[in-house]
Amino acid sequence: MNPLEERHLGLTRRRFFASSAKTFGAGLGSLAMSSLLGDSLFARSTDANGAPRGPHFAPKAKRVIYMHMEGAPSQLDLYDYKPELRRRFDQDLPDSIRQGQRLTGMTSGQTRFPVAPSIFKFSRYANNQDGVWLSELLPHTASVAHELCVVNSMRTDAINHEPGITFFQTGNQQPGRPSFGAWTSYGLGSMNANLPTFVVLITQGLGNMQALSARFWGSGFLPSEHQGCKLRSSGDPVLYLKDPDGVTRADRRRMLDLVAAMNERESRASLDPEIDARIAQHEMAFRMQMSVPELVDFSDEDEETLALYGDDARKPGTFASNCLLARRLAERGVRFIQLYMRGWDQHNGLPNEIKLQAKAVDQGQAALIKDLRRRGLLDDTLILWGGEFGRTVYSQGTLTETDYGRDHHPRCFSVWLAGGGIKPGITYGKTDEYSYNIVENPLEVHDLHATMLRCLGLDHLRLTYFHEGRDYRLTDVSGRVVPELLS
Amino acid sequence: MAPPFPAWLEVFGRLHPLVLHLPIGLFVGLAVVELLGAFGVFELPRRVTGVWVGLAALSACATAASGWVLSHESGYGGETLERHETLGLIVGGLALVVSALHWMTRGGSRVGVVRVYRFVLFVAAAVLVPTGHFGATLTHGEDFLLEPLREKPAPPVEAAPVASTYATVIAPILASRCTACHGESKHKGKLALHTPEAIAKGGESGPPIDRARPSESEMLRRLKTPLDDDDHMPPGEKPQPTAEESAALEAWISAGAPFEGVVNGVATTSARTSAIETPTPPKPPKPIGPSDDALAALSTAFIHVETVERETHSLWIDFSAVATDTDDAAVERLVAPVGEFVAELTLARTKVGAGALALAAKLPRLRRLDLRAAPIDDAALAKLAGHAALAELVLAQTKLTDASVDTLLALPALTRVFLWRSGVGAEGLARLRAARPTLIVDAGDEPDSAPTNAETEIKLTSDAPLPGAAPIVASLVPINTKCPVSGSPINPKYSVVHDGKVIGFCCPNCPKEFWADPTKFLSKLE
Repeated sequence: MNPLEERHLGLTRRRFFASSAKTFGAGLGSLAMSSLLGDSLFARSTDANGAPRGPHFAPKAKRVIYMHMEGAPSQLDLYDYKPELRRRFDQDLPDSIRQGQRLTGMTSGQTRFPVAPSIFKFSRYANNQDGVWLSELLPHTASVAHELCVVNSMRTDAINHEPGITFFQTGNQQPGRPSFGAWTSYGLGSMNANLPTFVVLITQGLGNMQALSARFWGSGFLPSEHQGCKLRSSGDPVLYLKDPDGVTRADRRRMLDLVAAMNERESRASLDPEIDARIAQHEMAFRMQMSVPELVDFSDEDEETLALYGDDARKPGTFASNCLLARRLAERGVRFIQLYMRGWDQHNGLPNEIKLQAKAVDQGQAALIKDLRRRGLLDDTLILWGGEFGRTVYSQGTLTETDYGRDHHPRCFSVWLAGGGIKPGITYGKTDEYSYNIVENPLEVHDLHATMLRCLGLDHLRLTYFHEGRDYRLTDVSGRVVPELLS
Repeated sequence: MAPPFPAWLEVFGRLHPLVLHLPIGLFVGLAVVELLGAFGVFELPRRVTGVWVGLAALSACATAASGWVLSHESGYGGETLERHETLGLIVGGLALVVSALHWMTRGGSRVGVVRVYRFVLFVAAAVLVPTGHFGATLTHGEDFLLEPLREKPAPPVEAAPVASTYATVIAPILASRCTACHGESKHKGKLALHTPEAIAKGGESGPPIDRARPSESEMLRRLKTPLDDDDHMPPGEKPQPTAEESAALEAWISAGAPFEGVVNGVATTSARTSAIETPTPPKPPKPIGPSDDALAALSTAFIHVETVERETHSLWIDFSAVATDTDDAAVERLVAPVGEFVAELTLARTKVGAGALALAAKLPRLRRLDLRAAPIDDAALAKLAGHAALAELVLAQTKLTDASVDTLLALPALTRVFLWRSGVGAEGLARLRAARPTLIVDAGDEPDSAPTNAETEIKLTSDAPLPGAAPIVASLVPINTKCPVSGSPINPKYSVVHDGKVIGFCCPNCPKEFWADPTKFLSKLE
């Protein structure tokens, strides 16, 4: 075979033996079955690299709900309480704080950097430490303060949205690596063969929205069956899933069997792992024809539950509705559920926009925590809420007593975690009085990933995939499990 | 006895185990080709078979010659060698005959000669089989080929419980580790160890055992010298005695290597004897886990199984994917075969009832049971009463009543229970919480986190001093009258501002001393 082609197919010696053992050791039907069920733990005791799969430690969490706030919400107006700044309105940001650090092109030309204190009132809510200060913008979220682990000392390397989101999703600023959900799917496998292991739900925001590419939930160099499956909020949740008129389910079954047999033959000839992934995905799509309509049908939810999530819960595609859908996915055994809320990029007119954005997420996310808790699901569901970076303390553009904007700020921002494996009701990390630099317990993106993998029972150093001559990890060559965050 | 060969010829002799494979392959291959030719299947050109037969004859002669040289090295002898030697010479001779006959078939169709040639070729190939067999016996020992098929003889100790240590322990060790080279058919270094007589006789290095000074015995020395030493026995590349076997040999030799009677310190229990008799250590017993068939049945039914603890094979079994199609019968059929390993069982949203709970009651390791939104009533739940391991129980959205509180109180290990919409009312919850204060009862009635402090009004000003800027001092009059460093009266000319206070000193040198460690002097201010 042409060496280039060989490389393209990933036809390594190891893969050849692995796949030939599979091909010659099993008949046609059982092959299809094994690739379908290949995800259950005992059936796939080793991965494509021959490393043992499944959790390395006893897992605390079995699934993840990751609520990504695309656009980067302002930590200053939501979580990082800085009352002293109220006495510094319109003062210049001191150079001793700014320390000449990098700015975006959007504000680097400003002649001054006037401090814009938050104009939203904060209240202290009881938690398992000495309380946590939260903004009036998040009253429902505050009502579950005792469940939250609020990290005020998150930091990232990226200063713009694409690299920022890519870093949070894949552990690298450049595109091409597998996403967190894909790594989780690869490391732990599926819990429900009738649904994708990794599901993505998107809510359109109310403010300035950045592009949200499908590669944020891609599988990178991992086999394609680990990529996220986006469920659409209107029309068919999954496009082309329904059979066309006149095609019966039996017809569809026969067609799939024939296609699988042909794919099978091609797979044996070319040993291309992507063909195995395709066979598995066809089979899953067939089963999803039954499981997805039932999943997105909220008619079995009672009034009290719908009311808990708020009026938005009845409107498909809203954040509240997606939170309710996330709970339904969680109870059906979907391993990684990712919610995107777009529109947090408030460069100007922040006070008005953030009110609407916060209102759109607040009740739904709080309801999700309460609902999971009372159903006994919160203990083994790991929740992460956060954007790709934070926002500056100084105003971008006009600063008045009622209006200001904030630019991108990667040096400190807030995220919160809750649920399986996480210490509830605490705050972690401190920023300086301007919420500009971290003064205590900085948390890197790789550290966050390593800690979350630990909750799932995975050692971030051992969850690897051999590609282009080396082992790759979600945490690249960094990452530290932070024990203070773990219960 | 050995003719004095030059060294290069000895090297040639030692090539015998290498070159012998050539005639075997060439002759067998040629025989197959000619057999196909005889039946008219296909025929190779004569020039090809000519080269082939020439190579075969050449290699056969080289093999026979090198074998003859090798046989004169010390350590080979006995009946097997003689047979091998004779047959080897016959093969060499036949090879020459075959090539001569092939030569005679040149230049046209001489059907008769071709037949003779083929016949002699087949004979030569046939003679190769026993030749090779005897040769292999010399190298690998008797019974090498069929040994795996043979049933192991019962440990002799069973028959003769207090026979001699030599017979029950030592002889089997020697048989498994030594006699392949120092035995009946091969005595390298003129040493054989297969009988007491042979051991007593010894070899080129003298007797292996020094009965006068047992600890200096040759056998012990060779056993204990480092593995990479040329003197080490068995040679480094061969299977080595286990630590236990070495210890047995040492104890036996130290005791003077008696062929009769029992040596203390060398156990002759059947366990040890059988362990020693088996050349390879026994395979570790297969870890006892759930049966593959039972796991496959669960997997085929789309039920998720995950190992939650590898050491104990504890499992989490989750019916979520097929919850709405799951009833008691399915749970009983699929879970019972792996029952002893189930630590967590998720039956949320299924249709299970008393049957599944009766099964759950018998799962010894069951730690967490999720019955959320399953049609469970008081009578069904009562089946669980008395379960010793159950720590977490999810009963949200079930059809219980306050009567189930008694069942919950009858679960000694229970630490957490979820009772939201379980039908257990406020009274039942109160009774449960009162009876078991340590039990975490999650009934969805937990109050929200409440604010403890709240900002009431926000006033935006810019009156805060910039960090790093000198604090504004109200008056420049020093607060002290005596210098904190020297104790002398102050001169207001030498004042500094520290922490918003004006401090006076007596001279220009004292402030320097003060700044070096302000806290040291602050206490001296009156």
